[in-house]
Amino acid sequence: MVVHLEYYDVDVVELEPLPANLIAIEGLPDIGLVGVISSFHLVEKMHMRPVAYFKSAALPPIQSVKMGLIQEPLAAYSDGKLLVITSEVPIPAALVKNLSRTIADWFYEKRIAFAVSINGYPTQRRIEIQKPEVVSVSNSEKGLEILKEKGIKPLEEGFVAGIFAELLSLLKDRNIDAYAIIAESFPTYPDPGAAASALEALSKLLDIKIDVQELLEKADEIRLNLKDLSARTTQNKMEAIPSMYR
Amino acid sequence: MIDNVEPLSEIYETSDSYIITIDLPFIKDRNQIEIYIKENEVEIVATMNKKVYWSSFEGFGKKIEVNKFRKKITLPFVIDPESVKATFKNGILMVEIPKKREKKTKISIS
Repeated sequence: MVVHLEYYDVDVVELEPLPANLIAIEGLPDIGLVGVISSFHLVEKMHMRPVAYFKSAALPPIQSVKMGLIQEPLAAYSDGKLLVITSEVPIPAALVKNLSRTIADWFYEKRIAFAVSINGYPTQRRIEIQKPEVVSVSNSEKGLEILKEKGIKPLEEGFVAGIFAELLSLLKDRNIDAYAIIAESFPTYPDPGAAASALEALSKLLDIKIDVQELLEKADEIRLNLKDLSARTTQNKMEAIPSMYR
Repeated sequence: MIDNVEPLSEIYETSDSYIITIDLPFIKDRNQIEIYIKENEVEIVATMNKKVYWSSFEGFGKKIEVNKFRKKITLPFVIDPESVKATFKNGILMVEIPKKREKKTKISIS
């Protein structure tokens, strides 16, 4: 059976001019919502402001509202040093390819320094693990050396799948170094513990201090409040990736 | 208003059992969880120690007070309650339900 996926256009709407050499962090909804939880934490703790958002007909018609004002759900935030992309809504399967390409082109145009994706890798034995381990992937030899120097264990062999995998490859085509930090995670539940491990690795990679204590203290609240996003992300992931790679 | 919320859950199958896992934030102790078996249905009720606010996509983000998780799962066979095992660790409830062993009957050919 041939399945036709219509690929939707994605537009970037910039809210202010951005300086060159920002470090881009991608934390879109994926396994364990590790990227989303990490990104929300960075945005909150580093007092980042929205600097751009992404529009597409394929996105669900949802706007979050804060203090009476709509907030774009798929947006980029910055503090002048980092540029964090995250989403409060799941990314539909039909949007993955074009969203990845749009982000890669935008990073190239904005002359970012390098990019880091934060993600989870599913493990059924997560229930037994107190502190999730982190592995990493780079799209360049130079990046791999940096990961080793910083003591972030590279993934020796396996597959990576999802927006971050697409982004690693697209940024390589554009000569932009990119890394993925991937923490052991519950396959289908929001995992603040995995996000804390991923942020500790990010802290080593970027040589910045990221306090994860508050994240761990708010773990129950995060798990409950991200329940729906997690369920919908799992559903989209099933549609987007062939079962042999899940 | 205090309401129930359906927790995230996952079912996977091994060669001899069904494993149900349920994510139960705010549940700290196994004494807060009740598991009921009726024929082919498993019902899990977990009560939090406090009321918390939760908002769903469907509820336009409006926050409601909740203090209980409730989930019903139906399996394709009648469950023997004596054979069910449950553990609770790191906020996750795991219920293992052995598959019913059907006795094979040999049919003679005339």
